[in-house]
Amino acid sequence: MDVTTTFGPVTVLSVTGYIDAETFPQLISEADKVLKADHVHLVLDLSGVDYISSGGLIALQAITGKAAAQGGKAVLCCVGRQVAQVLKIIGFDQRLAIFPDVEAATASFEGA
Amino acid sequence: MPTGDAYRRVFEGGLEQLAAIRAFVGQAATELGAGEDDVFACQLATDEAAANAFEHAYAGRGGRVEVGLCREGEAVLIRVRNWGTPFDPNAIPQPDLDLPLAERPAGGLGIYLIRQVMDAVVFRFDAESGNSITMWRRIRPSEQKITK
Repeated sequence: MDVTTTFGPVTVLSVTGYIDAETFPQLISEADKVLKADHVHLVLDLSGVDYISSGGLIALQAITGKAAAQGGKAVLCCVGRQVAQVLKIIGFDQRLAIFPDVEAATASFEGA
Repeated sequence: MPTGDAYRRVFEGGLEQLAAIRAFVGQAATELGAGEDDVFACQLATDEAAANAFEHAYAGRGGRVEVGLCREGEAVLIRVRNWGTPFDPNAIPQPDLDLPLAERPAGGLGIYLIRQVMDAVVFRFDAESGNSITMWRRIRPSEQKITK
């Protein structure tokens, strides 16, 4: 798994590869670095993610929780079909903000 | 199984084995006639079972996980075995999907995911033959969702 971070008023973390029990702590730690730098408006771009397991769900839960605790927000975008199915099984599709593309996800912070 | 499974492989180590396990299951399930969504369900369920073994049965110290697959009628049968500490799958609480994420405990979703994407799941704990989870996924016509 790789994470590329693009800092801005809304910071985009572009994730590629798989988020499983082995790799999810790395995603949390990348998000922690961004949050520690007081960038609390996050978009997790999952367009390059081809697989997610329950470990990945732990990461999404942790990151959205931490961003909210710092007065910010973390949203998802570009979720592939299989990842979307896993999110749906666990009910995360109703609990997380999910957008079709980075532009829509970024626009969701306007006025925030 | 354990004799007669068409595909069997032993993975030694820890969580770094999960990607290789998913690749093995992907190829085996495809060759057994599973479609794309069935293959994904098989990979997810096996990954979760193996991750549980490495994290809990072996407590992160590394160990041996055996994955076997065969065709049983219209289903793919998968058995994941380990020789670590047994656990009671019924002691794991069902996640409350109605709770906001902030109020949900982290983790505990693996067994739930397995039960959601597989048609039948049987746990067996045996000092001699090890701990096993046997899972069946009925092969569906294409273009169906991974859930039942």
